[in-house]
Amino acid sequence: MKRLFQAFAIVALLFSASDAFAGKNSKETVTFQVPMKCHKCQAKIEENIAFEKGVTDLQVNLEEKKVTVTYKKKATDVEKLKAAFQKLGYEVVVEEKKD
Amino acid sequence: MREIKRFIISLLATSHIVFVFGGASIQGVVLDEHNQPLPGAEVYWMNGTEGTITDNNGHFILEKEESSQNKIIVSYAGYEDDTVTINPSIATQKIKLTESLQLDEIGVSAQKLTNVLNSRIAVVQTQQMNSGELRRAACCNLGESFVNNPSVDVSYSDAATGAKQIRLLGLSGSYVQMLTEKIPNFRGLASPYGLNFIPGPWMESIQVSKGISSVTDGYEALTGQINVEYKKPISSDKLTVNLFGSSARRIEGNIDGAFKLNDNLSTMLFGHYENDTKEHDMGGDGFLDQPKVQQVNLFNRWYYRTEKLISQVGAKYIYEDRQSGQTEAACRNNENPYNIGIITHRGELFTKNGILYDDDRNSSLGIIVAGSFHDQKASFGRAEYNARQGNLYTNIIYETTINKRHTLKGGGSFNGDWFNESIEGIEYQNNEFVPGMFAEYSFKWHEKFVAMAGVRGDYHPTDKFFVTPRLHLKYDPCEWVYFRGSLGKGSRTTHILGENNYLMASSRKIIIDDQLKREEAWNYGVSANAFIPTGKKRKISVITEWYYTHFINQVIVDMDSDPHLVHFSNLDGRSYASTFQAEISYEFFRGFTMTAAHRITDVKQTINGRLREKPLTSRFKTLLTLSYQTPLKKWQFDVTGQLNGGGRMPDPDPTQPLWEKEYKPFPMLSAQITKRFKTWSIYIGSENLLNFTQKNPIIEANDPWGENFDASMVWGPVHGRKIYAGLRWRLKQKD
Repeated sequence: MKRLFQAFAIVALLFSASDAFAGKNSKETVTFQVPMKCHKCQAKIEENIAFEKGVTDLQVNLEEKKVTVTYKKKATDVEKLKAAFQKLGYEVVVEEKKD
Repeated sequence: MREIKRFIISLLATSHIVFVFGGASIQGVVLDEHNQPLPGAEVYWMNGTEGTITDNNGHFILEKEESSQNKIIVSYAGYEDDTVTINPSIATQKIKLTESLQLDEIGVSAQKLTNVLNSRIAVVQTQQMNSGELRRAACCNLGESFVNNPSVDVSYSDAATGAKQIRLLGLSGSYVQMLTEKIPNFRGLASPYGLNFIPGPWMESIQVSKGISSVTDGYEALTGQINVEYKKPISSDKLTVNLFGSSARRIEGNIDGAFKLNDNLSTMLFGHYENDTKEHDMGGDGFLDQPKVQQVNLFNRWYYRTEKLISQVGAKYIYEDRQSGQTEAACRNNENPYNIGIITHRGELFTKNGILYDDDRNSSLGIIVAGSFHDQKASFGRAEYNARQGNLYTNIIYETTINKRHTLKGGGSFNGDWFNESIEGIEYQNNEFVPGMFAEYSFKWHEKFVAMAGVRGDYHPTDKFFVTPRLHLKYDPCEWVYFRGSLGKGSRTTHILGENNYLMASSRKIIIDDQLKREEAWNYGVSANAFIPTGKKRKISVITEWYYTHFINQVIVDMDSDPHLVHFSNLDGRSYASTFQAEISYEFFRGFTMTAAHRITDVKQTINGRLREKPLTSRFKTLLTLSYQTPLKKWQFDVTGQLNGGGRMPDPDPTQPLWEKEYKPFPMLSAQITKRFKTWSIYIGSENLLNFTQKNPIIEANDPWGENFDASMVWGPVHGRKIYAGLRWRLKQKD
């Protein structure tokens, strides 16, 4: 049983660390201001933006109405992501963008 | 009654909200159930883009939107969302929300580290398992939903029929009040197999309340309540499908669809079919490890809402065919095979209604009427047991708020049971009608202290008039710690054969004393919940609790005095159950959560003149769950390990012992991997990964007609490792 738990922790760490080894230059992170109103909005964004092509990480801060998206530069860009938010009914503004 | 209260509060909200419409904005105030302001609640236009958040006094001002409808949505973490139609002609400006234990699966609250929510506000210690928690395991039905839960145990009652019993606070299921949508359910005949009667995918959430409960729900909950909320047509996906298959060749299909017929009326249809008809005999004793089961389960519910009324109506039908006993191989060349067959038809009908009574005092009236019919035809070897039970339940609650500190509830209830049992062709009838009245008073002081005191009086045909007092206290000294205490009485009528007919799968002679009294017990408990900050975002959740149940009357099941009989008699001496549990949860890093829990159980009762440990009751349980979700929540990994403490077996025959006096601690391990796509998900998992099984769970299985044959000596798993896989698909409602 101990081995199984060790294996579980290793899998979890590998998944969480995989981004760090994926090559920072190939990715970009952008923070959007999103007029979210409630947890349902949060769920809607998480369920949809997570499946946009190229998206590798997503963090929604409902209190500050901010969504931070990390994506592969080759697969998508900020305009495509803005369009994805628009499709869900949210007009978003880019607050911060960094490589 | 929580559900009724939700209706009522929604009604209050609908009819109370009044806004100043003169300018380009509206304004109002959002309050909780105790009229306390809710700062930080979200208020926004339905189908609009404008939204705002209430200030520290619960007030808000919302800019008008031309494009929006005349409706706003009010939302607050831990409370039910409410959609409110604005009435510009009324001047009262308040919206009341009611506490919800139904946070979104992905939602975050201060008390929520996993998908289990420990209510901070409820005065009764309550733990909610939401849909996210239920999807961490296969959860094919209610009985399989507690794999990851440290508080609730589910085990087989015997090694032949597949009857299951739930244990809470160390005591078996009959002392736990089972409810569906806050209506008492699965009593009497339905209790041995009722845990299989609710398919997992139909459930929206499960609430586990420990200790005594509110008097408004009746007098029966001696150690706690388990309430199941089905999916609701107003908040469910348009269509969901769940398919499941396991290495044991069990297949299941579930489907449910929600239909909004107009603004007031919506309905939902549920369907379930399971087929588990493959024979398994891993122990090689010639008996099936688990019964072959086919079940069809159908449910239709309706939801109707106007300004003054919210009404729900539902109807359910269950058919189950359960076959067990000797395997086909053992039956071959056997002129007298031992077979078990149980065929069940069950129908349920309910209506729940909330009516606004008096706007000024927030007074309201809730009415529940529910009925069920249960027909069971069973044979255990040569013994036949056919039984029918009818039930009618009504509960009427009037509630009024005197002021922001004082709330009063009162009402009346009626419960009627009709039993008709036939054993070996001899018929027995037993009817029981219990009318009752109750009152409950709540006092709240400065967000720090809540006291809820209730009393009910009921009239029983044999006990005549009896009183059930109950008291709950809650104290929040600071933001991150709170304490609860409870004290109260509970009682119940036993239906010996209806609840224990699985014991007929044994050569033990069943002796039931005349004049068995109703069971009666006091329950006391204290608990402390702490949420200790460890940084900006993370908190350690620590819950410790102690509960003690002290029986005044109890029906003692004596399997010790003679290994060839089971004797049901009144308690003559002491009987108690004491449990202590500590639970700790922590998110080590983003997505990786651990819960560890340990419970110590001490259950003793006077059996044949001696105070002894209750047999087949584990002395401890240690549980560790690990859960990891990738950043995009596309993958989820869950592992749960358990160590169930040893315990005492019923005394074996001293001259010819056929089983040990004790059983040792045993491990259980389960794991599941889930992969989510946009509209569907797949999962694969395993139960009992370590393949641990109890050796020889059926005593003298090779001679089922002999005097030593006994399937009731079961303390551990009877089926080994199972691998399963499933698929979930959903079609979301349009916004």
